[in-house]
Amino acid sequence: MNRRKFINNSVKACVSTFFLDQLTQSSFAQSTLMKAIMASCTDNILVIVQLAGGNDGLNTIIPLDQYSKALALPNSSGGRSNILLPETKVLTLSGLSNTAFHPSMSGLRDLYNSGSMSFVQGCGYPNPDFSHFRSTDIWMTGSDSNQFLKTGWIGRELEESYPGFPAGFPSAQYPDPLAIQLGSIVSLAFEASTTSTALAVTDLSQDYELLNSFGDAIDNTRSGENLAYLRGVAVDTDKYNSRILAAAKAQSTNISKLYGTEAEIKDNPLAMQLQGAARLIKGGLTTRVYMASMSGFDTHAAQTESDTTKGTHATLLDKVSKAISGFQDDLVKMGVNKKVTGMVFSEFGRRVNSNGSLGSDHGASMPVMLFGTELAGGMYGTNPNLKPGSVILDNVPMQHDFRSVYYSLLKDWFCLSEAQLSNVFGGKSYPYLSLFKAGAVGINEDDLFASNRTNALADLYPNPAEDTAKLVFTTSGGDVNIELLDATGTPMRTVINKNISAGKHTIGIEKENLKSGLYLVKMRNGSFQETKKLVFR
Amino acid sequence: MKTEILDTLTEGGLAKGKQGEDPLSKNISPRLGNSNARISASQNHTYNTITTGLSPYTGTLGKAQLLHLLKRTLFGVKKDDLAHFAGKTLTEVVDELLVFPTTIPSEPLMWYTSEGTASPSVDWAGVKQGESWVGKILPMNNLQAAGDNFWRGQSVRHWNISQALNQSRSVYEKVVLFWHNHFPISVAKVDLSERNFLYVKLLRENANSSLKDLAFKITKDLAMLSYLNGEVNTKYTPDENFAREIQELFVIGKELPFDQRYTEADVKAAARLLTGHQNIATNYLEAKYGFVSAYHDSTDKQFSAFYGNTVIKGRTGATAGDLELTDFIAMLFDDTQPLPAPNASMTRADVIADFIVKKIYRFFLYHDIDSNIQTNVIKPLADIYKNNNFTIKPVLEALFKSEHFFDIENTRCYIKQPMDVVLGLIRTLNIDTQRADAVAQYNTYWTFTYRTDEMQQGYLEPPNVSGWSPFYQSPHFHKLWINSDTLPKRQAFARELVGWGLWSFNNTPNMRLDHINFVKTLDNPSDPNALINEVVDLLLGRQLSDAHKKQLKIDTLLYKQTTDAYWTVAWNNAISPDATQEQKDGVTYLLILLFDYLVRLEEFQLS
Repeated sequence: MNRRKFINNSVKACVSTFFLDQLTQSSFAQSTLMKAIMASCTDNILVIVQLAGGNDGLNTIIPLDQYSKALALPNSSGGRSNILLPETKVLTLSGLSNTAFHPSMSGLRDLYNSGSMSFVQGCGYPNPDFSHFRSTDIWMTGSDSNQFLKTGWIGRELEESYPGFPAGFPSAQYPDPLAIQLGSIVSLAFEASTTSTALAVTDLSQDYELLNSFGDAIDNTRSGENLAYLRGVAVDTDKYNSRILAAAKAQSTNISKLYGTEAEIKDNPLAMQLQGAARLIKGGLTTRVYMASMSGFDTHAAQTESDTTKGTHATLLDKVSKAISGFQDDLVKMGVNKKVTGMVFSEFGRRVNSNGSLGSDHGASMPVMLFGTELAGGMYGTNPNLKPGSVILDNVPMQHDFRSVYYSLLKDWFCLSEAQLSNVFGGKSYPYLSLFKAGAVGINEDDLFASNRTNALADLYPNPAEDTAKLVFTTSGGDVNIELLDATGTPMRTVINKNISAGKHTIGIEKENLKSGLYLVKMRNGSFQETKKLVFR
Repeated sequence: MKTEILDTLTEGGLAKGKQGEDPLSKNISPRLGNSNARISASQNHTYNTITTGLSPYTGTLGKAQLLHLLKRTLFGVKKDDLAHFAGKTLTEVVDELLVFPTTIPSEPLMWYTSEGTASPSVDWAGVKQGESWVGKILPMNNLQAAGDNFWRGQSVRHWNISQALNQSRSVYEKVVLFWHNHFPISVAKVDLSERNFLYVKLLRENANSSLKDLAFKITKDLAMLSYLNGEVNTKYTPDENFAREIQELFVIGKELPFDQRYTEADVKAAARLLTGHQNIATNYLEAKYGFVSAYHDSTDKQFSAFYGNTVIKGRTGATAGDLELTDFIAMLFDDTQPLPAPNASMTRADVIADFIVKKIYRFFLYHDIDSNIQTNVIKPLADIYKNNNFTIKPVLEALFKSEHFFDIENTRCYIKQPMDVVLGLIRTLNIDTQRADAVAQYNTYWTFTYRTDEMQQGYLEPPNVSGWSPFYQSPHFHKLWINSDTLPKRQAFARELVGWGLWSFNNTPNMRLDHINFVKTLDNPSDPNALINEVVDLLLGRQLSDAHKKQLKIDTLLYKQTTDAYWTVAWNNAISPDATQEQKDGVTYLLILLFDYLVRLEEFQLS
């Protein structure tokens, strides 16, 4: 009679698979420091911003050294003088003499100059496809130009980090959606092998009331398959909905003034989406990936007005700049900035040569922008060379495969092992970019919360455990000793005995050669002592 | 954890790799592929291989079959529809469903409030509320008149959705929706109301036109010329937007591997060929197509090997646009030249037929096309399409009369599109949507426009030029209608309607199911079992188990009692001439419990 039964069937098996995998990771990690890093990586959040339609990178991050040889020429000669931004109006960047931002991007300029933004020049892929739909799919799946993947890069990443998904999700350990699409249509990027990892969210106050129905059996038909899918969405919606409402309620407002005026925010869908994300992150949602999007970048015509600092593109970039700088400011003011990194991409850039209708047609590479306080900042690559020979190029040449950015983010921000990266990228690897500040990677943001700086054995799971249990503990810092004792109190093994920093830590306890039975996990720090029971099967 | 990159088939792999393999089967799903794997986490799920083909269906046309046929061809099924078709042969039913209206019955009306005019009920072109505004041109360069123009655009949307709502017993309205999804524009993006109306008129008047004619006409359609920048595509300033999409999305499609179809050079050549099509009215709010030869690129256009290295001769003068466009369409639809290797067994006409027929199949029946279906259904349908000059009716006729259409696997499995959810429920429940005046009428239609927008199928507002993703996005297709945002919205709409009323715009009366009068139309309403059976047939995509129905009967109509007589007595009392309000309210309450339960079942989302 219980409709929930159908998703619970295989929970147990999958949970143990999950911890088996954690064990594998743990065994690679030689030091507690590494373990701490791994634990913190599971708290890190990636916020992806999609600029749909093909953003004109050349008018976003402007290569001033290309003006005289290419860009400033009339469009009849292969240039784009009709949409070119006056050199006197562009926003200069500290440390870069020949690269500047669009005049609408003062918020992002400030972020860049403060070191909380970087950009990777010339992101694209070999044999670019000029179709919006195909190129979007390529970016979302991380495929080659001639390769068709049905899973998204984030979906595959989350499957690596959360083996067994979706069976058993949500669970006590993972009560929140792994990913959230801010909007109603879930991106292909979130597709895992059997289902999407993302929940669509448009309304942070919408309550959902699940019908507790009789739940007829699912038959082995197409009809049954679709019915099972519908029931799965209903159950997940119900389970996740309360978590989202709670998080939104816990942080019921935004703080930053940089999003713009109230009227501007109302007209800026990206700002509204990111405002929601900031609240959910601060509100305690453990969701790992958010995707926001803004469309309208397909500027074939009237990209600019005759005053090229005005027009459709300027308006769009103004919104992007305000949305992101407001979001980043919110994160800092809310004290959660250290666990969030953002990435901004578009399916392609636009042609070097503008068209005559003050617009530009579909192109190839463009810069990917990144934001966050943990980034190293700066420019990766160089200004594009638009006239390497005697003629002006049609398209901005590729300097970085976009998957280099993905690869480097997953490696450093989500701490995927080489083996996991290989799975995500179908056995391929891409040139690594060092995107983060030295030491930034692995900082445990939970440390900032006071409750996480008191001593406690917070969680021990699964329990009973098959092969590995995961111990979550918080500490005020200093010498922490955790031991595994048998039921009689005889020490069997030292789990950790080390001077460690205040905060929340996670560590694996492996069964190895221990007999099945009851054990005790004992934590000491100064005068503090706590013991929890653990059963190995 | 093994990563699922099962479908990393490089494009061309099939075509190049295996001899005799149909290159057009590239996008088909392998049996037990991803769509099944989706729920494999919860249970092992395999369904039978579907081997039925296009042979005429010779089985019974019982209620189940009729429900299936009507739910896929109309927006929801009314009790009257079932009665109308009962006892007819499949041929008779399908032939009637394929009757298309020959004229547009009405025009969108002025219902908005105007600003800055002598009276808010008269707009800047002197059109009064309740009158058609078509052809009554607003003054340009006037912000307040621009407001009228915006609302006129909205009235195109409301009028258009009302056509679907008030449909005849014909598949026509779903075909119009199909073509809109295929050749999409956005009313808000175009924001020129005359053009928006003419676009809808074009689709409605050409629902059964040859795809060649549709492609020809849509190229010159003023809304499309705005939406995909055709009107700024001149010889001085070529703009490739439409030139790309007519090949990628409208005609040739993407069924062949990308390196075996048209090239970037073809996009550029087509852009040059398509120069000069313009709105020539001085007032931009007026819609007056014209060809401006001065903007036309009169040089010859060289196409690639995919197009047989065709050179279309550049023309000059007033007829140049039509002449070159005619040559271009002829080149696209050519059925004589074999394609370059490895596709020499096909012509471009074959590629087009395959592309469009798959889209039709997915729209009306189911998204999953495996190799059996490709061979037994898609290929013969594509031949029918090609041999009937690319008109849709013969394809639909063959499909709707086929054993494949009635294959049990193809029934009850289609996740309703939002238009089915909203208009289907309104129609099935006989909700009165007629209002005395245009203002109230259009506010009522607005409710439907708004609700379908919210469920991500805003009619005349698709997300982009490829239409709605559930109709094309592999592998999930129709499942994409459903997520944690849209499912609650679909349920909320239905619950309001069958419960305490569907909120309607601007104080027009809220719409609400008239429970007692609706139930009176059923075959045997005093028997709670028969009542539930019949309502389940009408509202849900599949029947419920007997145990389930028994439980829900007790929970709702019997109000936790166990004897059917409890309902029968209550019902008979409530419909007797001297029934008290209390008795009527009591029965209405029980019916609300029943309907509220049914529309919240996931089975409600299926058809």
